[in-house]
Amino acid sequence: MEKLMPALAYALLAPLAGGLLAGVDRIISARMQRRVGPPLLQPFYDVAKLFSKGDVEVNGLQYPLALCHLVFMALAGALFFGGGDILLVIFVFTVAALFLVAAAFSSASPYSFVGAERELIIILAAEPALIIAAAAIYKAAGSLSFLTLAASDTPLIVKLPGVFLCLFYVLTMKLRKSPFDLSYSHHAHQEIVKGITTDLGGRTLALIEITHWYENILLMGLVYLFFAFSVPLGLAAVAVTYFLEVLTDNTNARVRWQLALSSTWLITLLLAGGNLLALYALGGN
Amino acid sequence: MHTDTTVAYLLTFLLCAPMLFALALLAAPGVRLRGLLVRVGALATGAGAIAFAAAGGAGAYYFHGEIHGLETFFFAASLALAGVMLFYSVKYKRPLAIALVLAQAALTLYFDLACAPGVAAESAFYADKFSMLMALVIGILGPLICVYALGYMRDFHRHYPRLPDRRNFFFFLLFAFLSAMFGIVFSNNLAHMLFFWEATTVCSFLLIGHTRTKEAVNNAFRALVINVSGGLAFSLALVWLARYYGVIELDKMLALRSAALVPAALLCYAALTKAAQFPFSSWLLGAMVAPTPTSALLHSSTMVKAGVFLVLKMSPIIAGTAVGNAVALIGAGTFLAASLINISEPNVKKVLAYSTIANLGLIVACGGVGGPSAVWIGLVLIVFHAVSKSLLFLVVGTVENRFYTKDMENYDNLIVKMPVTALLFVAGIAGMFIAPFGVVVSKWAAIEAFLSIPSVFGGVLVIMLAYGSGATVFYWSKLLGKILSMRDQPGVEKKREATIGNDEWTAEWSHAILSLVVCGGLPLLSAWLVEPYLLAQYGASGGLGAFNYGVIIILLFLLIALPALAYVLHRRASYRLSDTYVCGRQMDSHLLVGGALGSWREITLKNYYLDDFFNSSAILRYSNMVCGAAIVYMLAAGVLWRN
Repeated sequence: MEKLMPALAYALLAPLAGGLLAGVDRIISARMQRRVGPPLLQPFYDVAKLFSKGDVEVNGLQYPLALCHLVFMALAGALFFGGGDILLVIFVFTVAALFLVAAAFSSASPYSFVGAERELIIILAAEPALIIAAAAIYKAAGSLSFLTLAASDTPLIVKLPGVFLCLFYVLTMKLRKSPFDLSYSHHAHQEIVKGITTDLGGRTLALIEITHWYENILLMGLVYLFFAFSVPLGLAAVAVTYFLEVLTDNTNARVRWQLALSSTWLITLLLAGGNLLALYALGGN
Repeated sequence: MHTDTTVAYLLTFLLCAPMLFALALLAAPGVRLRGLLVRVGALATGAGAIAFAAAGGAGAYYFHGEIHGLETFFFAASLALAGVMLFYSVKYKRPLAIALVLAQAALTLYFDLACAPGVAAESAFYADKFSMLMALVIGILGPLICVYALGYMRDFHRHYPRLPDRRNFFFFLLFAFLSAMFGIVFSNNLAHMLFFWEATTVCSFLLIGHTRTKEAVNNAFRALVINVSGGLAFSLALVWLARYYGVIELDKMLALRSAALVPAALLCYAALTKAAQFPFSSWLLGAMVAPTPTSALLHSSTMVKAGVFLVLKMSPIIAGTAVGNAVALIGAGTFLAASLINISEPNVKKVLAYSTIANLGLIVACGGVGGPSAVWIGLVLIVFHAVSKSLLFLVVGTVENRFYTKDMENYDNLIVKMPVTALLFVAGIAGMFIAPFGVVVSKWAAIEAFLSIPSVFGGVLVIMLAYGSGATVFYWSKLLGKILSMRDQPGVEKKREATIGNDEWTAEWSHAILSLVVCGGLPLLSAWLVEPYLLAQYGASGGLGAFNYGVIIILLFLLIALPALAYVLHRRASYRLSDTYVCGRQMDSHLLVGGALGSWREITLKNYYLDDFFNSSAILRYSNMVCGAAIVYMLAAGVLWRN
């Protein structure tokens, strides 16, 4: 029961929180660009509008795949906040991402295809960092359950500074922020339309948006873990991290995939890998 | 009947029955009799394996007692095997092969005449839970592949009418291979195991060279040379054991513990050659020239699995020593390098091959690390990998026999061209890298096992596994995307699947169902065969815990039910189909785009291979160097560490 409640709370409230986060994101971004920006609830209006659109699709596969994308992302988050093994969460998270890639692949559009390939590069770049981060958390705290970790007073950030910095780097990819928004971004200036979602429209696109809200809350949960020994500090860390991501987004141009991949792998090896090996050398748990 | 006797009868049946069917197939005139023999033989072997695993109670059985003439039989049979190898090596003028075969024969003779008589062997055969697990893998998947081969070889010879039809010999080899594999997993007497070991070498040599084209002969000899070098190390281990310890049996060798480090290192060398770890991987890649059922057999239930079986058997001796660390490094290095190489590999069969090598690497790494939780992973991964990889080879063979292409880029639109086959293909790929299917579950457990290693070496293994995992997701998704990409081409012939015979469908669907059964039934499989073996061996067991098993089963159910349900419901819904987006250009559904001046251009979409980043020849070269050095270190460490 104590596992079910947080999982259910996530499943129900994460879209709400994620939508609000997206609204705040757009306001902050607008202010950074000296604009007023949309109202806070604009992301919800957008999704409602998408749902009201007529049903036009390029094949019969994309809507079911987008639905699976949503359900598996929600499941990954529910597992995470319900105290499931974080490594398993990462694997389910990847499965969820793959449903989106499959939806993009199934269309014949070259834009969609290139978006899918780029999304795969993002997954390739980020996967080692996520796995090493989970491994390091286990090595440092002896547990891979959010509930146990959140209840303990071990300051993970002190033991895992390298892992956290590396995670910050990878977060830019997963939050679809510049300079790593190779396949999908919220900016209008994307050179290949919106890459992976080129052929997704109407309610299919609405599902993708909601999934993204789920995804962001899950990722913020991961950030929170590093500061979980103190709730206010944890929440503050989440806010600061997100603000820095928005700042990065607005001050960087997109890089090529070569740089995105090589820099992430190098940083993962040096910061996260080095941190993990240091934990081993110091005796870990 | 007493359990002991039942197990003994069934063990004898499994050793002999496939060989008898093999001999009958060699003599069988006509296609219909051959078909009947293959199907009956497959059923008998499968039923025997299941009965065997079901009959075994708790613990292991060692069968004592003299079997009259057994030693003479093995002696004569080993000489016959050496004769076969020598015959072909001389016929095709391969000096290296001749030298190795002669050296191996001389060493075997020396062992049989000078060492073996002084050593008392008490029990020739045994059966424990691990060998029962192996018997299930060999006895269920192997026969299914044989049945599949009936249909495949018919299409194969139709496509290559110039090749001489030596199907009788081909099916003889397939069934003989199964007997030899049963021999490896049931032999307690290591001299007998060596005979069966060499028998698998000879069978695979002949299967790879089946078509007798120049490429096939070359690759067959590469496989022979590499595997006989392993056999040579195996013989050396036997001589060492007999001369220094007066031991020739597996159980007694294991009882010696780290005292038997030198022979264990030699056996690991033999195992690494068979398991196609770097730097020995080239023979398994070369084996691709053979008809696809051969690949399915070599990659799943036989041959390479003999290699990892032996590493896992040696694990209690080598774990925690420099030899064990070297083996773990070779395994993890192979996993990482083979996964990276696959990123830039367009040939589907090579992708499957490198993925096999990578997964075997993970099993080898677990064997090198040792301990109940790591060995648990090794055992379950053998099963998971065998089922999914065999399914993939069967499906690729079916596609290949219709489109005559191995290039991944030609697999697009498969979901439209061959929908059922594409679905089976997706099931096979999902088994290899999608949670919660077995291979991912094994990786997950492996990370947690490596985390419990106290030294920094554990951290290095975790990092290698993390990078390899990322690469794995990339190369499988790419292939998956190709299969799922839909083009409604009007010219496409949609009746292609009607030409697939019942034998092939039976084998493929059985595999797909099995892959679900072993994944959903993981807790049962683990409790039935894996955990008792570990308890007997280590007094402790590995595994994932009840909560995680529950999550796995729920995820598995969702992964199958949800896309199916969504798809079916969506088909009934009303929506308007539109053209895809090409920046406002007109494009019809079969990838023609309206260009300037009324021209129509075709679009081709090709995958990213990132070959500037993942230069496969460079990765291969460096990983061969590193793993080769680790092998030298492993053998040297065996000698230096022994006490």
